[in-house]
Order: sequence, then C-alpha cells, then structure tokens
Amino acid sequence: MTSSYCVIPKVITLGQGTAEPIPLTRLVLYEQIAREFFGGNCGVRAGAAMLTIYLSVEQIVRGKAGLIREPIRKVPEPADCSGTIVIVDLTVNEPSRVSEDVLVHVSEAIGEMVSQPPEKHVIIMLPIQVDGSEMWSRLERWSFDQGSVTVLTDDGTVVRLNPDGSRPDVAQRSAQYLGLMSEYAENSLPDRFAAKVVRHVGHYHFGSSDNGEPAKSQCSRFFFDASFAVVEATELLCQRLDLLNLAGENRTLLTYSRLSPWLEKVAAAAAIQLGMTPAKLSSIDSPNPSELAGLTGRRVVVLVDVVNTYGTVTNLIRLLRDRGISVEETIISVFGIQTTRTLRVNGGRYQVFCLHEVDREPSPQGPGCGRCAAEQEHVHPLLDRYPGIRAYDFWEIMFDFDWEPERYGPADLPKFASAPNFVRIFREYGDWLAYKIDKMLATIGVPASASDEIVYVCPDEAAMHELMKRLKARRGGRPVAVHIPRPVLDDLASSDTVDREALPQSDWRRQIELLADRLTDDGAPAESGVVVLDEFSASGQTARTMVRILRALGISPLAYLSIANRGALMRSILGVPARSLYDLPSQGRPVP
Amino acid sequence: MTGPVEHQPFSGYDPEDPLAACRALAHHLTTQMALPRDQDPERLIALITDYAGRAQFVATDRPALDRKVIDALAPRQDLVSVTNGAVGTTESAEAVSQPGGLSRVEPKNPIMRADISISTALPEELDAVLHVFGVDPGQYHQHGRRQRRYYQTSISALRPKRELSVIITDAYRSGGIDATQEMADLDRYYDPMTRFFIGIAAGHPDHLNIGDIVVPDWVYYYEPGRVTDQAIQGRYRPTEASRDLIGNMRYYRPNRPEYRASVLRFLQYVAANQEFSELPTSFVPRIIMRNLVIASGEKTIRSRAFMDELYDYHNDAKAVDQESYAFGYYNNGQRWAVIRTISDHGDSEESSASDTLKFAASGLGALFLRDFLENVYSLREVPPATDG
Repeated sequence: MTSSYCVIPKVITLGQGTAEPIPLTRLVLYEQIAREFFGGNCGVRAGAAMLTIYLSVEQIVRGKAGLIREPIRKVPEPADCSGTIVIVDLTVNEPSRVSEDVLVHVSEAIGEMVSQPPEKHVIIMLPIQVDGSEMWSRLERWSFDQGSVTVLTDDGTVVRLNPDGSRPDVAQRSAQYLGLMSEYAENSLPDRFAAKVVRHVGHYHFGSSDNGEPAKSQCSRFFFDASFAVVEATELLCQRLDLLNLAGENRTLLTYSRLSPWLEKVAAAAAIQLGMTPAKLSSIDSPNPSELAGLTGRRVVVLVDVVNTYGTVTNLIRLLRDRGISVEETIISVFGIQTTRTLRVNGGRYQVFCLHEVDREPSPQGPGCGRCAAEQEHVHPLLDRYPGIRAYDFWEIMFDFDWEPERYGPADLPKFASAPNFVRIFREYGDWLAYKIDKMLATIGVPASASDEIVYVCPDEAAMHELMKRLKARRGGRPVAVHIPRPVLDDLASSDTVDREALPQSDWRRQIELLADRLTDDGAPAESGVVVLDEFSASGQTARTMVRILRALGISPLAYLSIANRGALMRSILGVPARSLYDLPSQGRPVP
Repeated sequence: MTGPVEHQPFSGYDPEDPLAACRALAHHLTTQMALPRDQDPERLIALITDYAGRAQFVATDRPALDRKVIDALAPRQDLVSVTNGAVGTTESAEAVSQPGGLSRVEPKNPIMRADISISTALPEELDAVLHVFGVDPGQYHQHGRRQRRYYQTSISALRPKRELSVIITDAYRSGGIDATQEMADLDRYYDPMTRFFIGIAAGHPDHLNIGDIVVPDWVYYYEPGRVTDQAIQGRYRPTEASRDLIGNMRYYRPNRPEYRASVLRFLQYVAANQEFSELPTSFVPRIIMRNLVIASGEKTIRSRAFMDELYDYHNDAKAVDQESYAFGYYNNGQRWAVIRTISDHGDSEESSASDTLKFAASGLGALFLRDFLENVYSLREVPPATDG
C-alpha cells in the first residue's frame, strides 16, 4: 500500500515585522520535495495554520531568536495519513540573515520535536552551506529513533542524520532538489533586478549632453533608477563581465554617468569581486587630467548607466582613444533601448551590451511632447522631491486603462458607476507608486529604513495584492501585508467601536496579534511599524474601520495612505495622520 | 486648533502649483475629447471636477484655461451612434471573397483594434475562458444584427511591455463549419491582431491523454473525398496556423511555478464547485506543440475505427474536432492558432465528456494561453525554438 504523508510547512522569515500567509506555489514545492525524499502521496495538511514564523531584525539583534522555537516545535496530530513530514524552510531569506544563532535555535527545536512521539520526519532547507556550524552538535544531542532529520543545503547536499543524531560519513547530492529549487525560485536575477528598478514618471530631458544642456531637444516620459537595485545590478554586471572574459587585475572598470550616482557603487562592488580597478570620469567635455592619467597603461572596460542615442558613449570612446587609452571592445550599459548594438568609432568596432532593456518613451521637445504642449516644467530626476503624483501624470495614467464599475467598497454605500482599474495601474506603474508611497510616508516621519520591515494593513482585494507585490519586491520581500476581508470591514462599518472578542479568528487577525504581542526589553509593548493602505478613499469609512480594528487588537498605526482620494480632504483619520498620493476633488470641495 | 480640516496646510511638502495642474487637466481634456472613441462619462466628470476644484486657486491665465476646457467639450459632428448607445466612428466593411465559399470582411474603422481575440464554440468553453481571464459574464457588449456578445478585458504582457486588449466571444456554434458571419462580425467590430480558438477536442487513445493541451501546426478538413464502389478516397484540405505565432508559442515553458499554482487553483475551484471532476487537483497538463495536426469535420465521432482511420490517413492527426477548420480557413493569412484540450477519446458512446470535464479542459487551455500571453507572447516574428 502506498504511504501517505501529511506535509506541514514551517517557513521561517528573518527580518520581517510579522507573519504572513505562505504562498500557494511554495506549498506545491514542499509537496514535491516531500515526494522526492519519501515517495508516496504527500499533501500539505489542509486547514493547518499556514502562516510563516517570523523574527524581526530587532528580535535577532537583541538575542531573542529563541522565540521561533515554540512555533517550530508545535506540530498538529496527524490525521488521515500514515506519517508526518515537517518541512522547515529558511531558503526564503537572504543567506546573510541566516545567523548561527538562528540555526542553533532551529536545531534545538527540531531535535526536541522529532525525539517526541508520534513519528515525524523533518526536512530542513537552508540557503547556505553549514559544514562548521554549531547546529550539527546541537542536533547530535537528540536521538531520532521515531523519525528522521534531513538537511538540504543550497549546493544540493543532502545529509540524512543517523538515528543517534550523528552525521553520516558520506553526504549525497541531489540534482532533483536543485532542479526543484530552480524551478520554483521566486524570481530569477534579472527579475529581481527589474522588480527593484524604479521607472519614474515625469517630464524629463532626454539625450542631454555632457554640460547638462539638452543636446537633441528631446523629452522622455520615464527615468530609470537602479538606486534600490545595487546588489542585483552588481551581480548582473559580474556575470556579464565574467562571461565576456573581461575580469582581471590588469583591467579598469571605468564609469561615466551624470544622473545615476548608484553606478559608482555598482562598479566598485563589481571591481572588488572580479579583481579589477574601479575608476570614474566626471566629465567628457572637460575631462579631469588626473582621472585620465590613472587610466594610462590599463585596459579600460567602459560602464555607463544608460544608452539612448549612443552619442554620449561614442564621445566617451573617442575621448579615451584620442588620449591613447586602450578601450575594451565591449561596452556595458545598465539600461538601454536594445540588448546589443555595434558602434564604429575612430575606425574601431565596439559592441554595446545592455543589462536591462528599457523604453524611455522619448518625444521631440515642443508640441510633439504632450507635457511640453501642456506647459509642464521639466523635472530633474535627482532633485525632484515632490512625494505625490502630479496632475499630468495622474490623468495620463487614468486614461491608460478603461475605468470600470467600482467593485469594492463599503456594502452600505453606493458605488461609483466607474472607477480606475487599479489592478492594471499597479501592474504597470506599481514600482513608481511603491516608491511614492515611501516618499509620502517620509513626510509624516516614517523613515525609509523603517519601510523595510513595515507592515501594511489593507483590504483583501485584488488591487492591493498587486500593489503589495511591488512594495515587497522593492524591499527584498521584507514588508508584510495583512489583508482584511471585505465582509469583515462591512460588518464593522456602521459601529464606532470594535469589540476585540467579536473579531473572527483567522490568519489576518493572528498576524496583527503577533505584532501586538511583541515586547521591548523592559516588557513594554514594542512600537509597531504599521501603515494602513488603500487604493482609493471616498467616504473614509473603510479607513476608519481598519484603524478601529487595529486599535481593538492593540496596534496604533503610524499612518493612513491612499493612492487617490475622491472624498473630503483628510489630514487625519481618528487621529492617525492621513495622506493621499493624489487628491481628486469631489464636487464643491477645492484642492490644493 | 479649530476651523475646517480642509484648510490646514500639508506638512512636509508643498502641494502642486495649481496653474501647472490646471494646464495639465485642460490638456488631457482637449486630447481625450479629440479621440474618436467612446468616453467614459464618469471619468470625464472626475477630470472636469478636478479642474474646477483647482482652477479657483489659479491667479493668472484662468480665462484662457477655462476657454480651452469649454472648447474641448463642444460637440463633434463626426461621431455617430453604432450599437447600444456606444459611440464609435461610422462603421463600414467590404467583403473579400475567398475560395471555398468563405469570405473575409476587411474591416474599416472597427470600434477598437483588439490585440487578441479568443473564440469558443460551446457554452462550457466560453464559461471557462471567462473564468480564467477574470471576466464578469454579466458584462459584455453586443454588436451586429445577431446581437452577438463580446467580452472585453486586458492583460499585462511582459514582452510587449504593455496591456493587451482581449476580446472573448462564443463566435462559433458547436459543429459549425461555416462560421463566416461570426468571424466577419469579430473582424468588423474588433479586427483582432492575433486570433485564438480555444476549446475541447477528441484525442486518439494511443497518443493523447485526457487533459493534454494540443496546439496544431495544421488543421485538416477531412470531409471531402472521392467516392468509388470500392472505397471513399479522402481529399482533405489543409490550413496552416501562423508560423511565427506557433514559433513564438514554442518558446513557452510550462514549468513556471505561477502557472502550476494557477492550474492547481483552477482545479481546486472546479473540485469545489462541481459534484464530480475527472481531473484530480494534482493534475499537470502536457502541452504538445509539435508533430500534431487536428482533423476537423462535421461528424461527431464515437468510433475507435474512425479515429484510427483518420490517424492513418491524415498523418499525425491525433486530435479531432468540428470547428477548427472553419476558424483556420477564414483567418488564412492572419495571425492565428488553435488551442484544444483533450476531453474524450472519440472511441465510444461512453467516452463523451461531462460538462464539468468540458469546462475543466477548456479552462486548462485558457490558463496556458493566459500564461503564454503574459510571459512569452511577442508581437514580433521570432525564430522557431530549437526544442519543445
């Protein structure tokens, strides 16, 4: 008879503000891994709590990593299956966050769990290799007569511990495990890079010459910014330089950029990894002699932030060649309008590779540019401090997608006959709106550093799920979303108070309670980084209900923020600072 | 502090200059009203209200801006009513004869040029496609003499880096080999750039399993033949799917976790909403895009011998349906492909698929199409992939 196993996932997230639901794709992966190592029918136990187990940075730093022991240890009794497979997954974290302290607590919790009846099989998935780790000696303290412990590391090594807790003499490698992990990887490197790039919307100069003046009198609608993707850009660059055999001690990685300060960081990090020398050129028109002198006798690999007309990069190559500097035939640009293009400069042939293809949507300056026709000022990408959305940009986006009848909103209030389709808007412009949300939060005192571990509380609606994807991707997956179902919001909409006891027991409530239960060292409640978020506010009823629910569960939100506000101009909701990225006046109510 | 909250200044940043904002709003109003398209009145009201709310803070240029807004709203003469109160440009179309009695209508001024059309034949097929594409079955446009229903939606496509407009319709009747009017209407009103036909088919029992998704290079019309006293000698007519589209589709890899999760979610939905589902929730469909043709004809086949005969005579005719040929023939020269999911084996009366299975099978095909459009679909011609 075929064995059937209940698979119980324990996903540990490090550096998050609270727990969150485990994605469905992850559950499919766990079933496949369980099947790979144990055979038979393996299914995730239906109805089990499917929240991650989390540790905030503060908890890790203050030595409270032991808090994860209890939730790891807790395993429900098996039902309708012949065995239990517990999968403890740490691979959702960046390797640097998986500290020795965390590994020790995970090992202790697993040892205790497996040594107790009934029989359990544990698979530990790690994003690192752990040869010299303390975790092995911790696991050796336990005996595993009733079950088994298997450790899987990022290189595919499979260590199935002996029943006495010791390591076997020979470890196996599993290509199948690596294949599954690659197949179910959340994002490839180019995807992760793309997710962190911000495509700013505005009225930008395009094809500017070295002295800052518009060279070809062109405007562009988008400006691409990789400030938040330095790590990913570095990794992509290293891969490309390695592939093209351009790494090595005798080479200099030369950057030139006027509007991308992040490029120097990328070049410095890549140069260190590949044994190259980083250098920069501040100007092509008036080159700094000392900068050029440092390049003499070196093989120079040119790295630029963006290529559009190829004019700047052509001028740069010409300058270097005229000064007798040896330029590699391969030029790298982080952004570009096409993947590769060949340039002929002073008789030399150069291949320009770009790491990420983009379209800045250029148009000739003047009547051919909509923003010029509407007499809109140009925006300097590095000096623009406006945290909201400007009227031109807002309505351009509003006309990008058809509006449709309002589907969400309080049940007892009439719905708009037509409202923006925020699902599509967030898919197309979510990166920029997520950036704007951070900027707007900064105006009410939420620092950018706090945004990494922030918890967004919002209605459980398709558009907010879409926006949350972008907010998470931008911060390496660390912000957490708590989605409150619309029926819950509707039930409580008409009451001025929310009774904690009347709130349903569910994942979203547990997420908030876990946050509220956090204590500081002296036992006082820790300050929560909770922001209430919605796509659209009109009556303010949904916002007030969400704030009341949070307060009933012991949380004081930092702010309420909506993308567009079509109701009364609000500066606070029940005492919580309120902002909107765009205030759309309702009849009789003026804006600004 | 007392007084209306509205008048408190923003803290931390200055609001947008009202003059710049009003110039932007007047410009958008002018631009939008000049377009030959239906305007959403709610959106226009919101835009005008936005203007009115900000204009009162404009110190200079206010009269000129107001004039621009009023001019933008003046009625235009070149718009006429077409159907159901929708406003579009004057419709006209010319029929272009094609061999075989089918004719294609060259569209002039369609209501919109759709990027993608998805045609279906059976009600279960339409329901499944609407479900997968998240379209409300109650929201549709009706056009033409027969008041055919057209469902509009759009999806975000990774490679063209934009939204693709999608029209879904049940333009075919089951078994309808002659669907000229249905396709002509689709052409006339939406002139789709790329056309897909989704639904179910019977699969040869030795070659295809229930739930397999097939994308044929060719569709053969198997009915014509020469009848002698000794035998019926087939004279099948082939029609070839667009090579560049099929080449593009072969770049699709079905092992994406999101696709697998969407299949799981869909089959869970089917299991939860139907009394009985033949496809378990753990099912992962095969997608077959090489060495396969579909034989298409008016017959409803419930005979193993006939399935064998079709396979032997029309090499690689592993799947059989009743509608694909008309679709392919009509769209000859256009960008089109057929996606069929095997729902029975056509080998006996008992093999007929239940309505649930028809829905589930069509949904699997639609999930594949959706994932392909979102992640791989290219508007450009691509070289064929080296391996399936």
